[in-house]
Amino acid sequence: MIRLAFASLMNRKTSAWLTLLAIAVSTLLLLGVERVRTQTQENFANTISGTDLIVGPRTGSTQLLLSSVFHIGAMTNAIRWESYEYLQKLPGVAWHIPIALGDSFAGYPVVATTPAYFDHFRYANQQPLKLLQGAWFSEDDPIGAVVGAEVAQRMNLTVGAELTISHGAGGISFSDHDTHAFVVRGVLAATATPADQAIYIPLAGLGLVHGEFIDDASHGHEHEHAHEPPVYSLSAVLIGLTNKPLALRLQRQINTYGGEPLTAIMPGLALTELWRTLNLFEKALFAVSTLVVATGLLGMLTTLLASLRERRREMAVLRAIGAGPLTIFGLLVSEAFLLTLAGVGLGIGLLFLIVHLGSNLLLEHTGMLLRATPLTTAELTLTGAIVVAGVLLSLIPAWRAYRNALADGLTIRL
Amino acid sequence: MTQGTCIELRQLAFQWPGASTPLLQIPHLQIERGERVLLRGASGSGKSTLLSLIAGVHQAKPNQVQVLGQDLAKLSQRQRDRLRANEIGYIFQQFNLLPYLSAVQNVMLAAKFAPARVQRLAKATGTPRELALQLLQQLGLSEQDSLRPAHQLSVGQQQRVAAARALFGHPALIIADEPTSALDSDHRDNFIEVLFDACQAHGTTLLFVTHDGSLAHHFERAIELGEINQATGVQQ
Repeated sequence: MIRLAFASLMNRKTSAWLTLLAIAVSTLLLLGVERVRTQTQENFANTISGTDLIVGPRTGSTQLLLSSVFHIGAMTNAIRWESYEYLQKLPGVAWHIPIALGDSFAGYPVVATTPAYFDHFRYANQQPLKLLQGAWFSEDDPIGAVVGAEVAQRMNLTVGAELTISHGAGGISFSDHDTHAFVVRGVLAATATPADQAIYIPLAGLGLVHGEFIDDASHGHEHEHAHEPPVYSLSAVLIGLTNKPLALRLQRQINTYGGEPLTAIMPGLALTELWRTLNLFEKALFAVSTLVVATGLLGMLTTLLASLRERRREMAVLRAIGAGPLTIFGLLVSEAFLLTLAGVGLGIGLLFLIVHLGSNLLLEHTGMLLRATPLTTAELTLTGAIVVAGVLLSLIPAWRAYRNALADGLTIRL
Repeated sequence: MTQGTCIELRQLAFQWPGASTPLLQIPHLQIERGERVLLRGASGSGKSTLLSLIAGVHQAKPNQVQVLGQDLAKLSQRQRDRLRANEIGYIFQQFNLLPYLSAVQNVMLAAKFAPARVQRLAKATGTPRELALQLLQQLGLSEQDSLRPAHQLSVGQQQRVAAARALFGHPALIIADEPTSALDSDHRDNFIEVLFDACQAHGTTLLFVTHDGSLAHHFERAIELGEINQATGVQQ
């Protein structure tokens, strides 16, 4: 039966190929959207692990999360150094990473922080940052810089190279801090997180270029204050706790801090909130790609129905050699089954081809990482649903062919 | 030769649903096994309908149509399809073949739904494919032509392939519905000759339907449908 259906399909090569292609492309779209959606979520979730609280100025949780960890968008406010000192002393704080943002190098964000960043920051499955070459900058090296893998590759930076950061986050800046050059001390290994696109400098270095901090070594002892902070303000502080359940209580304590308005968020919760916001958009995207699949399948239905007319001879011949109406019915269903199966297969093949060939390009241009991992259960369910829908739709032409077979009998109507 | 009745019509009355008058009304018609019969009728006289009743595609009332001793009305659709597959070879006027299969594949298709044909073929020496090629050769097709896709063959060759498919696996009855009307007279006589030889070799009954009375001299028995059909709804 399948062989006969296949031979018959090959006889109508052009329309069969077009139908197959339409199904393949729509499958590709549906699976692509699904993959981008889940893997983006995964990548986001991978970016930060091990951090229990993110503290920033009073702002929305999504904004704080996006700007502090993903370097998306800018913070309009900052927190005072004194608040950071307060945070350090809170009970249960195991480690803390201060972050000051706002500068950039060739469009890449500059993250001013302390060596604590390298010690405590974790991504993906609790993985620490690794250096490809060189070393992390030390406390007393204000002009040291560590660059992310992608920055290093794109800007051709190796250990010892000099770079000048500019004020502002954009690619073009009108105020380059070119009197203070930084020297690359280390290059990070690729992480497939925003860390690849960042430049890390010490807080003191940022203070230097902003004129907030005067290096003692070069300017002598002009300050009587021994504990002069390196910068006046920070963008955010990442905090790790000794005891995770403390997070909720501490969050409340920080949010009600009297010194200045602060916001503390739990990254996991904030991410969930972000996805919930994007949910509608995702649903719309999913609906559109589902409709594209429906269009592909309707295309198949149209071709099958149109082919019935020209295939009446074929049906009469099959009836004459003893094929029952049910056989004719089965012939059309198996034809649709073959078409959708091949179309879905081709679509999956195309998806892997594109992900395989295009993932680097995509990563470079959008920072989005797509991996050619095997199909997930959700994706398999989707493809299965397409095949089932194709077979179900084919019941319409199959039913008509069945009726024709009964009515026409052995007369060949042309 | 096999003895007995092949087709028997008794008080056959048939009208299409919705029609006011019957199309066929045949008191009696009997065709013996091994007989070669020409059934002549003008177009629109109900020939095709009669054939579809005998072939079991459409259903008559009980006791009206007997084929090979079986009352077709008592068989289910599936059983009638099976009987047709096993015991009736059908040749159309034209477009007998699936164009995308080769000639020999078209012939072998006859055994696809017919276990009885497969059984009879198993008794002969050779694979079904060899037997099909042999049969095609007997009907005048070279092996080279037998392997070509059906749509590349001439109309005359196509009709021979159709005859081979009808004969493949030795069914009891061949129904040929105007098989020669698309052929010129040379090919026509040749085709009839070849068909006769094949039927004679296996004692196959042949019911040959045509509107062309000039073929009658080939047959030992010729029936005028207009004479046996008493239905008034047919324009004579």
